[in-house]
Amino acid sequence: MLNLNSFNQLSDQIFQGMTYVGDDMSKVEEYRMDTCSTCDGSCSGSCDDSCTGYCSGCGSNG
Amino acid sequence: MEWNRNVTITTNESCNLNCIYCYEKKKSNKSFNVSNAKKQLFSILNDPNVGGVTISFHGGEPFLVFDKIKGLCEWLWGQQFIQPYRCFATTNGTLIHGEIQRWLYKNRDKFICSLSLDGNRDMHNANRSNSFDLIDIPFFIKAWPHQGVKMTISPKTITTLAAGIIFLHEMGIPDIRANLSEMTNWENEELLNVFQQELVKLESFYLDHPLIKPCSLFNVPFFKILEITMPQKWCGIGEAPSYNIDTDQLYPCHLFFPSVCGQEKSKASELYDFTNPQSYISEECGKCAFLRICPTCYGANYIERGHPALRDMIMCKYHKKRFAIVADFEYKRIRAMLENEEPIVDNPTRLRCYKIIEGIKKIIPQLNEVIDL
Repeated sequence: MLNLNSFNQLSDQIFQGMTYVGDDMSKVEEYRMDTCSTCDGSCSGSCDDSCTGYCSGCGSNG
Repeated sequence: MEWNRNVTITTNESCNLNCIYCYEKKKSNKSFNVSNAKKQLFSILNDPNVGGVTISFHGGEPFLVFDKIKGLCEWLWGQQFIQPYRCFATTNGTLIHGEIQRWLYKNRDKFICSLSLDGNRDMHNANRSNSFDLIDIPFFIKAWPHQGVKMTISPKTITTLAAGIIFLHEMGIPDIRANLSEMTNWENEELLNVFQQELVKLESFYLDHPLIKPCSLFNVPFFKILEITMPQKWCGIGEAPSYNIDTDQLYPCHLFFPSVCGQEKSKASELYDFTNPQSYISEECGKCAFLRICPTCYGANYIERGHPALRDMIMCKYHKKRFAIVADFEYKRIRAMLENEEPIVDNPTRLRCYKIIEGIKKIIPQLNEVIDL
């Protein structure tokens, strides 16, 4: 069972360390997830720095 | 650089393997015409409106016609074009030896290969025609150290899913893109239970080995739950349309090629406008709390159920199990990372973690209905 209170506590703990957003929660949304500059959009949008610029994980078989 | 055009050269319709989940039912000895390909690529790559072009060599197994691919690429590399381009092929790896291997290594910066590798020897052999021992896996890691492998999971291999993925990690594969095979009957409830058990094993493995990049099954974009804009498509379908060099036509992706879904269905796919959410979100899925994180293959949906938006609702159960286990994993992973005060806990990492946790929080009731961890 996932416990909402535990997640709330963890969320607060993470947030407290975000020095550049201070206590302004709304500002968090202004920062977008890091995405690879060469992403062609064919991945799930969750690419990271290891991307070679071509996503082979289109999800179809083979 | 935006790579907004895929040019798919259907190199050949033959393959030296007969993988159990292959969606290319039509096999023949036909192969592409190099002169025609040169002419069409010359025109595309000199079109100022096209943008960056990915040239995909798509089989069958493309390296069965290596001489033609080599001839075309060496001609390309000797030309000057307006547009940047890159060459790519997905391969079963069995022919990448000797001359082909030397040529690819020499040109590894210009020609990227993605290897299909379905886990350990037994798993790979069960899915892919006993071909494991025919592949020089270290070569792929050496030539394209960041590319990783494409791993397709079938009902025959799901029972050893965790062992297979751990095997690939131990081989030094840097990136494992794993997914359940599409267009497959996953209805057996026992398989669903096995999937859950295997993911729980993997969760333990990844928590014990925090420096290993988890396979794509553990990459759930929970942060998307926070988005308030229209849900995005899961892949780039329709945005970087695939141009088929045989038919001289654009298609939403390669699964819409006549050689894959048939002439009639391929033609009918022109009706779909993938800028319109109705083309990719069904009414039922539109009400689902997991829509923004739920993977799907629109091409497979179209082939199997006649509409890109009609997902396999059996696979839905598998996805939900995965979301619940990965949510639990993310909680434990992030908590451990903060408790250990790892040096990587910088602001961007914190932001990433924060959005993941906030996204999960919004769907905790639905996740708890799926699984009791």
